[in-house]
Amino acid sequence: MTEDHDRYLELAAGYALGALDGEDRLLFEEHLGAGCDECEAALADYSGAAVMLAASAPAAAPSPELRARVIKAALAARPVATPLSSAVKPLRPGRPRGWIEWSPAWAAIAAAMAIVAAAGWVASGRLSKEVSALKGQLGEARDRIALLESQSVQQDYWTKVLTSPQAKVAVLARTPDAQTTLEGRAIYDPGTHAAVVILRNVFVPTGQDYQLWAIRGSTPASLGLVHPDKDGIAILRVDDAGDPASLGAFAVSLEQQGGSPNPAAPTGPVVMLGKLGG
Amino acid sequence: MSQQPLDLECMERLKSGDPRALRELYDRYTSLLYPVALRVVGNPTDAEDAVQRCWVQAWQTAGSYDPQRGPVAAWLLTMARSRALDLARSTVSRRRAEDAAEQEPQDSPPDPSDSAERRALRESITRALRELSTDQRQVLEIAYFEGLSQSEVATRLGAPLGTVKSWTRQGLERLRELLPKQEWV
Repeated sequence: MTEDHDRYLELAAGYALGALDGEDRLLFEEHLGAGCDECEAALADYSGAAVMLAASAPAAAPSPELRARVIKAALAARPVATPLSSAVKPLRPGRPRGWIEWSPAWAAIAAAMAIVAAAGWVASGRLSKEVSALKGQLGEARDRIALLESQSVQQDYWTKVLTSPQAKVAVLARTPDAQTTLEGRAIYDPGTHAAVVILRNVFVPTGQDYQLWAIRGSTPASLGLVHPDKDGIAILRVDDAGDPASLGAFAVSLEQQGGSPNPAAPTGPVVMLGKLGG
Repeated sequence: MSQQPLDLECMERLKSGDPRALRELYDRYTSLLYPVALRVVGNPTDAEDAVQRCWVQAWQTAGSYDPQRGPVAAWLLTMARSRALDLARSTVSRRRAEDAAEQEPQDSPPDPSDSAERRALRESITRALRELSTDQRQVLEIAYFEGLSQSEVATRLGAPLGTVKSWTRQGLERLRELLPKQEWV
């Protein structure tokens, strides 16, 4: 066993506990994603041992009333639609299933994708209700109906992109120029050329902007500026990321406010880069 | 030790929305989940809240459970720990845990559903943990029950990050050797 690979086995132990820091986690996920039976097996074993830690907690019982509260809360909660929870699975076709699926890192990514899918689902449900109500009205309401129906169709479209069986994933790794804790993934559907890019820990320095790029062959093409929410999460929906024959990677650069002065290439440093995988 | 065949039948009923399956799983596993939540959040109010959130999540997402990924018990434990860590990171929960720590220490209430089998398992795990070095045990317990990353653990213990990584691996390796796989939850 090489010293390099021993390092991955060490990361597997931290990963099983959900304790890896961002960079280590991305490194290990990329290694697993490339296919390593030894690390998959080690991770399964370490995860099993980690779960045993749970059973070491001192025995204690909740109040007897909790049982009734749980049943009441569960029955009042709306079940999550199964197609959404299974929607994430086809994004990594053929990948061995194991404990990693429940590890915090994957859970975080799955959660990010579930947020996108759930947003579409919730919005679709709400929109169709609103659409039904508005259909009974006349005049100016018709414009509103058209708008809502168009949004609903758009949400369906992006859910399809995320759940496409042909979807490819790019893990965006930080480059040495990155001064941040940025993390990200891109999901690209070769059928429609559409992509969804999810970035976390995006905190834009004053007077600057992050810009997303598609790398087609060796030529970059701007996909727009990154606008995170207050929690530093940015979800970018790209209608056309490029042809699958030429699209090889996604990148993020740190630019002056408003984006690169050169529309055809980054001017500032490239801080994240991720090659498209299977 | 494994209840997996019974659990799988229960999960099928849970997926179809049968509340009796939820009651059955609650009775079987709350005595495993609640102590973990209590250890993580440090106070009974939030521990019950975490367990409740876990069961609601199990009810809502039963359809996503895949037995190929691991046993039902581990699926539930992962959710209970995550919900407890969410709560532990909130200010209100930290305050409650501090209040609980300031009170006179009390014995945990007896758990009527704590089976002899589970007690034996806990004892064998406790024995195995004692076999680890103090450093190895600490890094595992801090990471699992407090949800700290390895760099945060290194800062807490004043140890180099590389050393924390080694202790983590050595600790889990040792646990794996000491606890036969058939005993796993």
